[in-house]
Amino acid sequence: MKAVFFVKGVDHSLNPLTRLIPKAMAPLLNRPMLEYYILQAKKAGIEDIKIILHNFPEQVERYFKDGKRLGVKISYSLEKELYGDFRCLRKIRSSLDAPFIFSDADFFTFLNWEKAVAEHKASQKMLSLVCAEFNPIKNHFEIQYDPESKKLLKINRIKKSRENEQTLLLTGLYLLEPDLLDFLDDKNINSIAQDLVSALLRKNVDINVIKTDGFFEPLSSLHYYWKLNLKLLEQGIFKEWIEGRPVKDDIIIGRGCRIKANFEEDAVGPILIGDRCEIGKEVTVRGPAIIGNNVKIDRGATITQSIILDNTYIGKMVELRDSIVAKNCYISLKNLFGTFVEENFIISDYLKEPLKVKANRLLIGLIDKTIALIGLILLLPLFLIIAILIKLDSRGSVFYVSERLKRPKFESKDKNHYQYIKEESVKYYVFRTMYENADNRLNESENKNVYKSGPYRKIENDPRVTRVGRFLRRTSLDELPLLINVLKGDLSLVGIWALPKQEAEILQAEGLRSDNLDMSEVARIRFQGRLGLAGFWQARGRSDLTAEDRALHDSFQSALISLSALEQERLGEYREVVSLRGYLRLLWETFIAVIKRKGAQ
Amino acid sequence: MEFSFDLKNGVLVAKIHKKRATVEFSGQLKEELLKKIDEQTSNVVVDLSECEFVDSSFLGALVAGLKKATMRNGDLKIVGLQPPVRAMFELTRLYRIFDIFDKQEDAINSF
Repeated sequence: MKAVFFVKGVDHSLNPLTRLIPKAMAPLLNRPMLEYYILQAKKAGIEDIKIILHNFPEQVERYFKDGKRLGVKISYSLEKELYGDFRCLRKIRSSLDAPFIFSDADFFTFLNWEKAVAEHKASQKMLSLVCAEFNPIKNHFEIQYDPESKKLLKINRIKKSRENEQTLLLTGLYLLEPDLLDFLDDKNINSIAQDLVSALLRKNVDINVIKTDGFFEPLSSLHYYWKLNLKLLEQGIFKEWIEGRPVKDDIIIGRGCRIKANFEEDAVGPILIGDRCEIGKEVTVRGPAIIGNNVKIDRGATITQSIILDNTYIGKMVELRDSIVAKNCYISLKNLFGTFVEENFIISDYLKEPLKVKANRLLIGLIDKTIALIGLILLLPLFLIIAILIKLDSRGSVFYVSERLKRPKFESKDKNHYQYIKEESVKYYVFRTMYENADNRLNESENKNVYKSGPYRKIENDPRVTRVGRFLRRTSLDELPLLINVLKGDLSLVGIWALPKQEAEILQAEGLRSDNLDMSEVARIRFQGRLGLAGFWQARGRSDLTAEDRALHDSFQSALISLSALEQERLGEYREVVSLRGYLRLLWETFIAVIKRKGAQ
Repeated sequence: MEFSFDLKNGVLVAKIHKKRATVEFSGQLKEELLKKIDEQTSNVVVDLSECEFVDSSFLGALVAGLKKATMRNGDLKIVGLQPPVRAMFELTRLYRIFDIFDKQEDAINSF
């Protein structure tokens, strides 16, 4: 017997958690959901696993590899186009020579696979549906069957979810004989539940129904994801597969952790802690709580009923409750209740800053606006001349409006304090340097990008630039209207250069990677910092700058300027970067760099 | 002298002798590091134990070295991060990209 899993990677119900991974890879108890499918298959005696991939295939392959770690044999096939599950199975017919168990792994199921396999074998039918009793859920299928012969009588798509009611629900787990794939050679049969089952019923082919215990969770939102994780931990489901050393009945700690002494005395289980974690003094964890791998929880923090995924730092005295913190975050905001924190975010506390830091911030804001105001007034005559030149040189408007992404914010989602963070866009006004139809001619310049790879664009000798435009760009005069954005408070004079929306989206979705180096996590830190005109990239960027260099400049500055006052203490000399001196120095360095570069040309 | 190279057990050890590893010599370091990887070995250890401040230009040199070393099936590992530098590596997620050790011998023996 084989097991076949169909990882489509198109279910967005757990977004933004599943923005960059298939839903089947969402971690449950620190392991991807798909891993439990594989482990349940193995427990039922199936060691030959096939995974059909579509979106984010590398995420699955890179994690499971050939399956040796789990004691199974995994092979993969990639489907470029997405069809229904049955059609996909037909396409890989040649590799399916034995009966197999099949699921698309987008829901959570905990079922009796041994029973399902045994009953399917005994039934000698071509298709078995694994069902269990649940409350009816919209768009899932409920079935009726004859308990004597176990024959399927009717299948019905549920139109409306009904609470406080039980029905026999299709779990999405099927057992198939390979002959079935040849039996119905009909192109219109796409999906098993929607098309195949009714087609078989019409032909009077018997379908076997297997009713088993267990439970089912469609994971339709992050709230259910959070609840399921804690429920699995509380009820000890999958306990046999959890790795780690139990320090108390219900507190399990992974390998290579540095945990403060007497941690378990103040902690309330159940708690699961992954590998290589560090837990500081006076940290309290109240279960159910799940902490991933490489997580550092600093002194005095309190974690209650929360999930923290891998590689996150939780700062001193932070109180985290009823929350999910995704991978690679840096949290030092003091209170987070009922919050989902998206991957790669730094959240720090601006509220409890010492007076000196607050004054510093105010002062910087004041300098920003004063310089911008004076600059705009002084430059007004120049602006008029530039406007006339642009008008004379080519057809079109004086300004070019470009959409950039602003710094992400906390946002309230619904009454459960369910918040997440997203980027807002802000309009940039710059002098137009290209011909009117430039955006449609993007392909003319594609191969002239200075950066050989990655999301960034910088084009030299762009044929779309006008004569006046070339002069404006060479002198950076085209960017002077950005002082309006500084005056509006969208930008600071010193900060991270805002990426055009398209580049930002590519960086978010695809990251920054080459064959042997994945810098995506580093590069995405840039979205944290306040936006501005002058910065390390602008001051130090030379013509031979690589995409990696640029990411390092941006993220280095971003990480430092988004730190809270408390955190800055850890950083020794790095404080200089955030200080007023650092601000003035960067402003000066960028100014000099612009003058020098222009001089060199 | 801002930095020096040494061969220990076939591993190229680059030691930085400045408190502040910054743009002033990062270009020069990058050039010489890439040359040494080409000529000698792609197994590299960079010792930062004397550094209290490492800026983004210098990090660029380290990443360029790592890229070149891994392309030649080697690696570039880092030893001796002082607390502020370590904090910066954590903040920028660079600790996920580099293998980091406390002691030079451990890093050398890990190849």
